[in-house]
Amino acid sequence: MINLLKVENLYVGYYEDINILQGLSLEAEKQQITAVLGPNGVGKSTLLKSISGFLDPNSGDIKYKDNSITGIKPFKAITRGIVYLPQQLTLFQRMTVKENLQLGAWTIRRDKEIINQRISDNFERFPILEEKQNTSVGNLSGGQQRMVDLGRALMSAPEMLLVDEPTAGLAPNLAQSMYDMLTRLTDDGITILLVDQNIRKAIEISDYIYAVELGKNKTQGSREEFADVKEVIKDWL
Amino acid sequence: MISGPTLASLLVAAIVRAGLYTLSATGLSLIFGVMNVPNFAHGELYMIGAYIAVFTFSGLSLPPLVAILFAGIGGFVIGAIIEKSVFYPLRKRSERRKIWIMNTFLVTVGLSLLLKNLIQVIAGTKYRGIDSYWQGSLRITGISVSIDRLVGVAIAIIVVIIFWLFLQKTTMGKAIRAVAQNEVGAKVVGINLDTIHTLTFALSAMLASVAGASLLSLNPAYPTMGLMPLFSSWFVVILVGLGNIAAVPVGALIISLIETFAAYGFGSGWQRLFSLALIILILLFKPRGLFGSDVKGIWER
Repeated sequence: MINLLKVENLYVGYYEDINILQGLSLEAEKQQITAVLGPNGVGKSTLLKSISGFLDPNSGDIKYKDNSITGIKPFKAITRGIVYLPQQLTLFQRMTVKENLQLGAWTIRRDKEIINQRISDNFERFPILEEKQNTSVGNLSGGQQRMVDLGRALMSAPEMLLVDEPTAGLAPNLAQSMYDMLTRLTDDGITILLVDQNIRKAIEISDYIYAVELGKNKTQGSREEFADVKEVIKDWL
Repeated sequence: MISGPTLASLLVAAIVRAGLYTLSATGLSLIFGVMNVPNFAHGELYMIGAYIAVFTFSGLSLPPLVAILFAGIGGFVIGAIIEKSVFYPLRKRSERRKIWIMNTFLVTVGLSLLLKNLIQVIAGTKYRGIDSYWQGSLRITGISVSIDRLVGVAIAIIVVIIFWLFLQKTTMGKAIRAVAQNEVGAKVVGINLDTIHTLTFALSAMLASVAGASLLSLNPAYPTMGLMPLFSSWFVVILVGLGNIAAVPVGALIISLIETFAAYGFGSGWQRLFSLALIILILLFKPRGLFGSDVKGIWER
């Protein structure tokens, strides 16, 4: 097992003296899905923001491939191969699907050939996007926008995806295909750190799970150890 | 009734004015759309362009187009310096994003005062104009139009088209639009916001400087010359919707037509009254401007 990401004793907050994360630690293995679960407001999204450089930790360490990336700038995190997918869609609504995908490859913007190749890969992954490539993203359905969002994240060929609530607001069948897609991505070599409210599904697709409570580690274990989902949920209520 | 030739010459005057307003207001709209900065020092960037043109054209006897080019480059460099030395540190310290607009408003008012006084120290308070860049005039459908005015309009149209193509077609232009449309999204794809902000401010300053330089023969350079272009640019930007760059030429033409005809009919002292009255009326019914704008203020993000 190769340890790609290691978070150690992380304290993060939106103000200096109030920490949302209070000493959280976790590890993410290469090519696996690691889920971070817990009730609302325990700091799951805060964790993803800290790893991707959107928030500066107050203390603690984040190591990526054994190098510290604590307090890294978001644009530098991407060049290292870490891409963050916030819960709320952050697409460029008045640009076309293709323009959104092109901007996803911002860090390799001079390499047109690779960009075109990756756009075709995305069209293969999401055939509907090829049809809609010249449509403004604002005119797409919610499900299609999620596809553009994920497709855009894949344009920089990330090694690690930090995914926050990937199925929020999606119809059940679309949610299922999103989970299938995330599983397939690990086969392509991508490591995923997943934050999700859909505990049952998250456990189903994850290899390892961390349960978080009030910004601290509560419990952790493999999918098998979290098999009894009902017990996990009951514990939080 | 206005006679045919008078009407034609008024229309020409309005079009010349519209070209200038478009150049100047595009920059103002861009800064607001991308950085949420209401720039009240925009007129001073116009003024700097005029001074650079006087210096290079009269002082160094360089050709007119070179003088205007220098003004554009000078504006770009000064804009970049201002952004890096004033707005960049301010942004780093503005944790409370909600007061950003008020902070930057005050800062730009201060900048405006500073630049006016600085130029007064350097160049004095005298008017520094030129007779013309290009001698002579052309007769178009019976009316005589100076070549200076024609070239001024041509420069405005060409620069705005190039700028529009830059925003639509180039990767860097798309990145600027991306930041205006979704700042978090821009960060997510790895765009360095600091670079885009500096570039945007510099480009906006460049447009204002080119405007100031292009019409030097009509408006001589003096320290407080930026006030009127500042007002006009704001009129246009507010009329069409804050941050709505595509609609700026239309707004510029509307304001120019109103002002030109009001100045002809009632005297030049009345022209602003009419454009302001129109803006008040439109804002009463369409608070987001004539064509609306989905540029979100920082308070909505």
